[in-house]
Amino acid sequence: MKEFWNAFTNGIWKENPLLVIILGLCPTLAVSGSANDAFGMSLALAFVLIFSNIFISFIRKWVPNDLRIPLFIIVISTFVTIIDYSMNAFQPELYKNLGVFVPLIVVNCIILGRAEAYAYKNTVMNSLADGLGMSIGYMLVITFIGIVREISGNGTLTLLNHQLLYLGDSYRPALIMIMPPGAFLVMGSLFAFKKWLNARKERS
Amino acid sequence: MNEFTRKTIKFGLLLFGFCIVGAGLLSWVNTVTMKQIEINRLAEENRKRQQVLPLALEERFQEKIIDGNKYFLGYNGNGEYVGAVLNVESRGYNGPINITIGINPDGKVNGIAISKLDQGETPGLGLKITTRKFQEQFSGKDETELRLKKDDGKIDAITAATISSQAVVRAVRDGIVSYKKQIMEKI
Repeated sequence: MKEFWNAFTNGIWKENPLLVIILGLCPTLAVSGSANDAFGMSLALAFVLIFSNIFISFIRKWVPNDLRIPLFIIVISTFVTIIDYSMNAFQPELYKNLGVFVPLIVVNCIILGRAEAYAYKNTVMNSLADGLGMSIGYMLVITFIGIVREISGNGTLTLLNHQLLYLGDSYRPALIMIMPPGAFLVMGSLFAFKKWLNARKERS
Repeated sequence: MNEFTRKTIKFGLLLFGFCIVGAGLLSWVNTVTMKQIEINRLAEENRKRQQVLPLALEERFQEKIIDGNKYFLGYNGNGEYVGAVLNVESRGYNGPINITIGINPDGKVNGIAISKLDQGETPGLGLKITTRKFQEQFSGKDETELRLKKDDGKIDAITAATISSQAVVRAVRDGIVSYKKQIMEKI
């Protein structure tokens, strides 16, 4: 049970996929321009990551070491496509909002990274915990980036398709923040902040 | 048989097995979902037609294809002609944008609809063509007004997404022009 809990909290803070492992930056840059899209992306990712972790951990005994990467890729791409199709068929409302992100997940290396670094070497239960923790860690960071970029670059805040904040027409948003450079600025500051916290902890 | 050949054959078979299972799963999922996906797509198209031309009754739409343009002529409960719905495709910043235009009998726009799945514009910028705020501007406009404000029209472009805005405005304007030529003059 303790191991389960450790695997779970690990992804949220100590080995946060974005802040520490620095994986999956490409889709993060692309969709963190608004809090709504960022949150949607992290939901879609959580879905795929948890199931792929469970499945890879389940089949790990039959996967020879030399052949693991091609097999992981087959498993992950099959999973993403199955989720894309079933969501389109059975959850059309959800698909309308998340559908644009699902194909992006294939290029999200967090999934391959966790399959390789964790699920391949650990039990199914722990891999589930790892998938959950990593997804929550990713969700927190990407949504935070989305919130910062949307407020500063667009003057609004939308979450779950509800507009929560509108700074009015007199507010002149800094457009650069919702363009790609804005993502680098926010992410860079976050990485620096996390490094600073770690360094301070080490010194004391 | 030496170690290397044995390994090659084993790995080949294993990869083959995984690919077969993966392909089998995908084709099964495809057959299971295909019908439902098609039903959803038709329902979505229906919903968009209702949204852009609320006066027309769903079951009375008449499909008409003229020179590659697909019109749905709308009629109300009394059988009176209330306008047409036209689907057009435009080239946006990141690929095609599908636009559903509702057109009044007098050749003015009644409403347009673009859902998130109809386009591939940049999230945070061009994606705003899917917002109600952008789409509402088109209602009641004719082809002379259907230009961006910087081109002396009446449509506010989305900040930092001129290409996406331009693509929508141009396609709607072209749609209105062909409607006037292909439908209005013949009724």
